[in-house]
Amino acid sequence: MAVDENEILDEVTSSPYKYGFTTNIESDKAPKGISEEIIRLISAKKKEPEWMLEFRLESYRKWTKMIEPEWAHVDYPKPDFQAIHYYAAPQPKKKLDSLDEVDPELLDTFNKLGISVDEQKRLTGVAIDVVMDSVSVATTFKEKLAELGIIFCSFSEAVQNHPELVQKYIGSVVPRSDNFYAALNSAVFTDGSFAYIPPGVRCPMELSTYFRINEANTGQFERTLVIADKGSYVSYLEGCTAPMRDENQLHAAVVELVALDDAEIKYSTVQNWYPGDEHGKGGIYNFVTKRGLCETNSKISWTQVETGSAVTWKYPSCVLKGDNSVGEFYSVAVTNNFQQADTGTKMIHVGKNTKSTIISKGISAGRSNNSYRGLVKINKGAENARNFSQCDSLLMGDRCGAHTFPYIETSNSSAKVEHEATTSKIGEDQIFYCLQRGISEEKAISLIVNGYCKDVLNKLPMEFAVEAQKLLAISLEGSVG
Amino acid sequence: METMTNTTKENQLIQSLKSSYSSPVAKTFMRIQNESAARLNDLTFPNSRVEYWKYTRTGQIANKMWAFSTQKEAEIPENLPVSKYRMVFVNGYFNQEKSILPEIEGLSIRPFSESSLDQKIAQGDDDIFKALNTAMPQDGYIIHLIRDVIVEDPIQMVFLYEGNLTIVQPRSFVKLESGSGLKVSEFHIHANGSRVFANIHSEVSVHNNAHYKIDIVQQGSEHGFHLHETFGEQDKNCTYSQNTFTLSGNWTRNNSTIRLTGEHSECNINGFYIPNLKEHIDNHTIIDHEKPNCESNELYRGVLIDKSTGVFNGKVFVRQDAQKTNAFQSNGNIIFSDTATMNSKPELEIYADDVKCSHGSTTGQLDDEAIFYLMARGLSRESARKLLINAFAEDVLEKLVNENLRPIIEETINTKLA
Repeated sequence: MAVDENEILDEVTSSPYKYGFTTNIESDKAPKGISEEIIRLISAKKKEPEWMLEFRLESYRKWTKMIEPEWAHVDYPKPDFQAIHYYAAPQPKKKLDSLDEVDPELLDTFNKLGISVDEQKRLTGVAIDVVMDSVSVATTFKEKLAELGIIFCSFSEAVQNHPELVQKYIGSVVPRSDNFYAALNSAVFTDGSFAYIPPGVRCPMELSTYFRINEANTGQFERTLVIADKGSYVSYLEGCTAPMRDENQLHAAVVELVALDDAEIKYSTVQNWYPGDEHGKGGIYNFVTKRGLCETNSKISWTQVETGSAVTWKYPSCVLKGDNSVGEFYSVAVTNNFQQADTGTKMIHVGKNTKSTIISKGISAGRSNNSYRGLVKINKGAENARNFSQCDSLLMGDRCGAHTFPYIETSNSSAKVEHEATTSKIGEDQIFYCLQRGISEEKAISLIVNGYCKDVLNKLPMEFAVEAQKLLAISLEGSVG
Repeated sequence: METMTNTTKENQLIQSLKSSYSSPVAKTFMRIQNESAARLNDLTFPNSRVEYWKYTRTGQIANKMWAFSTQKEAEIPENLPVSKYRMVFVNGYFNQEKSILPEIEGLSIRPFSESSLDQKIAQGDDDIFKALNTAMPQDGYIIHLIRDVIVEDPIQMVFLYEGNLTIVQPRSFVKLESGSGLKVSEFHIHANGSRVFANIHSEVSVHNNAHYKIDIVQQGSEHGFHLHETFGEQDKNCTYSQNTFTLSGNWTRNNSTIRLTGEHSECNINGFYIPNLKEHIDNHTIIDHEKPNCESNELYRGVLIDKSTGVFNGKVFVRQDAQKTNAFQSNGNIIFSDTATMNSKPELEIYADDVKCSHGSTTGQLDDEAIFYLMARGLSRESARKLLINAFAEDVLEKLVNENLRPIIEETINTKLA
């Protein structure tokens, strides 16, 4: 058994990252480093209005006074903020209206990613915005969406064409000085996606963004803003990959969701940044701030499948401001080799009758460390607030770690808060049961892991669920606990 | 600039403490004492930015000029259960007259000042409270039980605190050799109207096949501060059981750290707290599984009334070698008013794969349907509530080592609920 285990674990640790190619697209890079000049340069390149530049500069000034957070249960060499290119745009860049005008090299990239934009466009009817090295390169289905009044475009376009919306909501959920990386992002973000769903409209298709870091020594700082106006509904997907490189690259994104009265936003992420090699060399630092604001009767649901990144530091949160609002968080986080993940959620209950559900499934293998860190805060006025949290960890191998750090703060006597956590490994009896019925060990594990994650995978939209299941299979190929 | 004033504030306090300190210290302990005294100069009181002290403020302690008391006499409260053996400590001084010491072969029991204690178990020297106690220790009990001696009757330890701006720093140490067994009932009672900062430090070393069981009852005062640090070290096949009942007190903080350094050992830590008015109660536990095949159980229950605040922070470490560990932790809270707050933080840090670990934390209120059920059977709302709360507390009460303690605890619960 022991020999088998080792063989299989070896296999896991050696299963390659299949998205690790680079694309030879010429790019227009800003000089390395960060300063007010660089920020002015980025702003000028994007022909931004004055208020946007002010927003960036103010954030930068705040950022310079902040220190990098140390509290997360992760250990990594700190990035050198002066060695990063804060702007890198694929060249040549011109206005794109259809996919035919996209650089063929780029299209090739998407085909390699297995998300042929073209194909998806026709077959699944998913509207995609693709962001490569911080700049949005293609947005599909824009016109069809426009008929319904839905705005779905790159962030820069939104700044140009819908400044009133951007100015009103940017920084309203994640303030500029919220944290170190959010401040950095507010200063140097280059692009991202913007979506606005008008009142009462149910978005007929999934909106999707695909992020890719391509250039060496670049950081990706994208910014996403989704606004669901009164009574509307939208489902939003996000996926990410990066090439294999020896050095660590920084990804610091900010995602802001605004759900106005009676609106619903479903935000799904499949994060598969390059996790580094089996010796822990290279990989992406994924330091992301994601937060949603719920007004009365609204609902925000976060679903994430996290398999990539060398270091992950990510807490998609919900501020349940309006009465009867609902927040949900479903997460599967898989770490292998030397990956480190410190992830979880914050549910801040402000309004009456607010409800939140947290389901977090962690799987650690190799020498990785996987932590759940979450906050459930019930404010004084949050009468009849209800929270249910469940955090399960699965350990594969005896050199990995699984940790839970939940914070539960309750200041209301009518609130009900429950938290439970378990840590275990795949039972030998479970595997034995499968083997007995002619299911191979590999398949048995895949079966058990998929069953273990079912609660979360069920929440993903169809197209993503398939991809997520495949990703889980790749990340854990043949693991035995 | 700020640090300057801070340092002087702490220096002033330390000077005041040093000039009023007069407790005799065993020669054997002086090296340890001096080390901590030297460390004191570099230490400051933790603020809320320190994660370990996130929910509990120490400013109220830091800004007062505490001094040691010379008062060595006080009355034992009448409602204290009778006991065969008893040690009484008043403001950190052992009171011989009121004590009844057991005379059992193989049992050495004496106050700190008459002992030859030459070791400490507590690790780390970065905590100002630990350093203060070690630098200026006062009487607690020092017990040494030799091989295979089992003391059947629980020994009652009564700590009485009286005075204004008085600091008391009892230091206790228990060593159980292989196969021995000991039961302890500890009472910490702050006199009404007193303003005492009790900075208690207890250490327990349990060897192979030994069994240690302790109940702790804490009764604070309206202006008092109560900090109880416990360090336990367990060898093979042994048990350590501790039940803490915090009945009252303006400010209470219990830190319990237990290390399981041998296989097949068991550790049980339980607690019950029922703060009202503006009382603050904070329980921090660390259970460190270093070796395989051990089991730990934690059950903490609390009822929060009025404007009180409660904190629970339970941390379980399972080290890489500690395969086949079973660790269970549960924290349940009932909040009675919208002005009460409970902060619960159950943590797991697990580095071994073949383990069963779980923790659960709930915060809520009494079930309306249960109250309705009882009222439909003729109980008043008040008595229905009392019945349910007593049942809630019973899960911890049933773990009492010494059943004689039950009346005094139940009495407080019922008075506070009235």
